[in-house]
Amino acid sequence: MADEMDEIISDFLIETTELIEELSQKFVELETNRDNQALVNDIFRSVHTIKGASGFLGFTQMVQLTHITESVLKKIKDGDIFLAPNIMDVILESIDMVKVLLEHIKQKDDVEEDLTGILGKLQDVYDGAGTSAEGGKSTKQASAKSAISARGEHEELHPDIDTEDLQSNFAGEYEDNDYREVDEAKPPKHLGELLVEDGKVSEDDVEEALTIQSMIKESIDTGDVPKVGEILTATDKASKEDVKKVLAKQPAQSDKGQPQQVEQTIRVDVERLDNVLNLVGELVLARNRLMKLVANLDIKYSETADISHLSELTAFINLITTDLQLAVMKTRMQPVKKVFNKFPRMVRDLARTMKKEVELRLVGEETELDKSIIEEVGDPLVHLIRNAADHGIELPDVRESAGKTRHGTVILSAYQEGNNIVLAIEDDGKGIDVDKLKEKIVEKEFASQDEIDRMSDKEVLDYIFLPGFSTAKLVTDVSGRGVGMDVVKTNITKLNGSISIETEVGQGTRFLLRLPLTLAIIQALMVGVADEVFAVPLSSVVETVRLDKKDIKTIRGQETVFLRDEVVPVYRLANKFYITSTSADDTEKVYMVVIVVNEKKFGMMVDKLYGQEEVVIKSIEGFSNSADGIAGATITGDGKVVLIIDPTVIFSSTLQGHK
Amino acid sequence: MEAFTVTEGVLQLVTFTLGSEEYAIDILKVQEINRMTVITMVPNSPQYVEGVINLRGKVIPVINLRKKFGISEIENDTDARIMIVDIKGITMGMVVDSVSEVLRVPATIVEATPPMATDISTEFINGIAKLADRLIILLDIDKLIEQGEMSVF
Repeated sequence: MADEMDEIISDFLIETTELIEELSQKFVELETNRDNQALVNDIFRSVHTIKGASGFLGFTQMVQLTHITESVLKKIKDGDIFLAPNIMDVILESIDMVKVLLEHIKQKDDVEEDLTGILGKLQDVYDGAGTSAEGGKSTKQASAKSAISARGEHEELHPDIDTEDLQSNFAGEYEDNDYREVDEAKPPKHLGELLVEDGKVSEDDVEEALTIQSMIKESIDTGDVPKVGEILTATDKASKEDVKKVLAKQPAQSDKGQPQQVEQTIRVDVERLDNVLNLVGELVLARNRLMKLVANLDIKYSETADISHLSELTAFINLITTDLQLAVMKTRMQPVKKVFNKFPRMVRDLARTMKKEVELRLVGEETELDKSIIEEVGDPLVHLIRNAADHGIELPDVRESAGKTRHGTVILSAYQEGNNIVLAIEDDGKGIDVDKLKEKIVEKEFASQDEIDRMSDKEVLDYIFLPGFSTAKLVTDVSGRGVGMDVVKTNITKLNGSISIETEVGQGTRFLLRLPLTLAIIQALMVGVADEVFAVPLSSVVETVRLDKKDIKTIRGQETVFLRDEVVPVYRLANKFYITSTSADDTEKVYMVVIVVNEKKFGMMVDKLYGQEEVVIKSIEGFSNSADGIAGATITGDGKVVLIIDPTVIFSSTLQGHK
Repeated sequence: MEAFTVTEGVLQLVTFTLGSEEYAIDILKVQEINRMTVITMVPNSPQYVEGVINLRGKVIPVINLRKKFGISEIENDTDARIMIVDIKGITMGMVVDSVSEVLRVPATIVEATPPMATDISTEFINGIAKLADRLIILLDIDKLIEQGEMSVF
C-alpha cells in the first residue's frame, strides 16, 4: 500500500513539475499577449489540476496556495483584474512557492513553509478587484440547481461539485467549476464556442452548462446525456433559435464525439534506458571484434563457402547493430524545449530588475538532443542569456538614441547541422568592441601590446573565455564578476562541443554552441605513440598528414611545418605524455594529426596511425582529473583499454603560451 | 580496527607479500584476485598509478603498492597478482608480489603498530598480527585514497 502511494506521489511530482515548467513560460507569454483567453484558460486549468491532485493527496499547504492563486487567475480570466506587471510578479512568486513546496514533498521532509507572506499578497490582489465574483458565483450555483430541476431529475447530485475542496479541509469562500471535466467533454464544447463567438451566451454560461452536463454524465453512466444546447436553453441562457442556428453551422461529425486519443507514450526510468544503452555499447564493441575476425578469416580461407556466408551474416549483423544503436539513442533524445522553457521567465525577471525591455524569442524548440547533453547545457545557456540581456541589450533610452527599437531582442535558437546540434544565442544589443577588448587584455596583462597587434579579431574575442576576464564596467547582480564565460567554455568542451562568437559593434553578438548529438558513442582516430595507443575524437581532427622529418622547421624554438601555405605549429604527443617515442630520433617519416582549436590549427605528432574506429566512451572509475586531457577510456575489439584523449585540453596551455 | 570486521573475536584476512614483508587486508574489501593482465598507462598520473585495466567492460584504475609505499621496484613475475578491492566505493586494482592465503586470526593477537617497524609509513597500518612464526602487517586500505578525495588520480 505504501508503495502504491509512493507511486502515486511520484507521478504527481512528475506531472506537477511539468505543469509548473510550462506555466512559467505561459505566464510570460500571457504578459505580452493579455487578450489570449485560450492561454488564460490553459493556465487556469493547470493550476486547478495541481490543486485538485494535491487536495486528493492531502498536501494542505499546496492546496491553500494554489486555491488562492486560482481565485486570482479566475478574476484575471473574467477581466476583473488587469494583469499588471506587479500582479504578475505576485503570481510568479506563488508559482515559485509551489516549486518550493513540491521540493519538500519530493524530499519527504515534512517541512512547512511560511505561506503568510505570499498568501497575503495574493489576497490583496484578489481583494483589490472587489468581491463581485462571490456574488456572481452564488447565482451561478443557484442556476445550476435550477437547470437540473428544470429537467426534473438527478437533483441530488449538485453537492458533489466541491468535493475536492472539502477533502482538502480548506474553507474557501470561492468555488469553482471543474475544468478537467471540460476537457473530457470536448466534442460538445464546439457548440459552446460557437455560441460564445456569436455573442449569444457568455463563456461562463457555457462552462457551467458543461459542468452540469458532466455531472449528469457521471451519475447516469448510460448514453442519455443532455446536449450543451439543451442545458443552455433549459437554464434560459440561450434561446432555442440561437442554438439551432449555431448547430447548423457546426460540422455534423463533431456532434457524435471523437474517439478518445490513446496515449502514445510511456514513462521509463532513465536507469533502464542507460542500461539498454550500455548493453548496446557492448554489442557495438562485440560487433567490431567480430568484423575484424571475419575479415581475417576471409583473407585466409576466401574460397570456402561457409566463410562467404559468415561474411554475409556479419554484414547483416553490422547493419542491424547500427540501426539498433541509433534507435536506442533516439529513446534518449529530448526536445531542447526542456531547457528553453525556463528562459522566458528568467529574461522577464532580468529585464524587470534592470529596467530594460527585452524580448526572448525561441526558435527550433523541437530540436532533439541526448538527455545527458540537455542536462549539461542548461547552465552554460543561463550564463550566455544573462550576458546577452545584461551586457548586450542596452537601456531603452540608449537604444532609442542609437536609432533602434526600445525593446531589445534575444533569440535563442536550436537546429541540427550534420551530426551536430547548434544552439545560437543572438542579441541585437551593442556588440563587443574589439578595440576596447584589446585595451582590456593588455591592461589585465593577459597579453602584450605587441602580441595583441598581431592577433585576428577572432583570437582577441577568445580572451573572454579566460578565467578572471570580465569586460563589464560594473559588477552587477547578474554578471560581470569574471566567472561565467570560462565556465561556459569548460562545460561545452566537456560535452565535446565548441563555442564561437560573432559580433559587430552596435549590431549585436551571436554565440554559437556546437554540440554532438550524443555523448556515449563517438568516432575516433586511433593513434600510436611508442607502444601506447590513444583514441582522438574525430570531431577535433581536421586531417592527417605524413611528413618528412626535414619538413619540420624550428621557428623561435617552436617546431612548425608549412601545410599548404599555412604555418602550423607542431607538438609531440610523446613529449606531452613523457613517453619515449620511437619516431623522436631515427625515423625519416612521421605522422601528424591536424587539430583545430578555436579556429587555430596545430599539428600533433604521433608515431603511428591505426585508423578510424567507433568507440564507446566509458568513464574511468575513481578518475576525476579531466584537466589532463583524458576524456575517458574505451575497450577495443581485443579487450584492451585505450584512453580517449582530448587534444584541445592537452595542448591548451601550450597554445595559450604561443598566443 | 575500524578497517577490519571482527566476528566473534576473529578477523578474516587475505594476506599477500610485498618484498620481504607479509601484509593483510580485510577479506570483505577484496572483490576478486586476478592474474596480471595488460595495463594501459595513464599519462600524467601519480607515479604509483600503474594505469587502467578492463574488468569485464568496466575501466578501473590499478595502483602499484610497491610504488605507493616506496618499496624498491622489481619486475613482476608469474606470482604477481592484481587484487580487486573496493575502497570507499571505488573499485580498483592493487598490484602485489603474490597472494598467500586466507587467514582467520583471533583479534587478541593484533598489536598496535610499533613505530618504524616496516618500510612503509605507519599511516596506512592498522596494527600487526603476531603469529607463532611470522608477523603480518594489517593494512588500512581506505587510507590509500587521500582524505576527503574520492579519486585515485
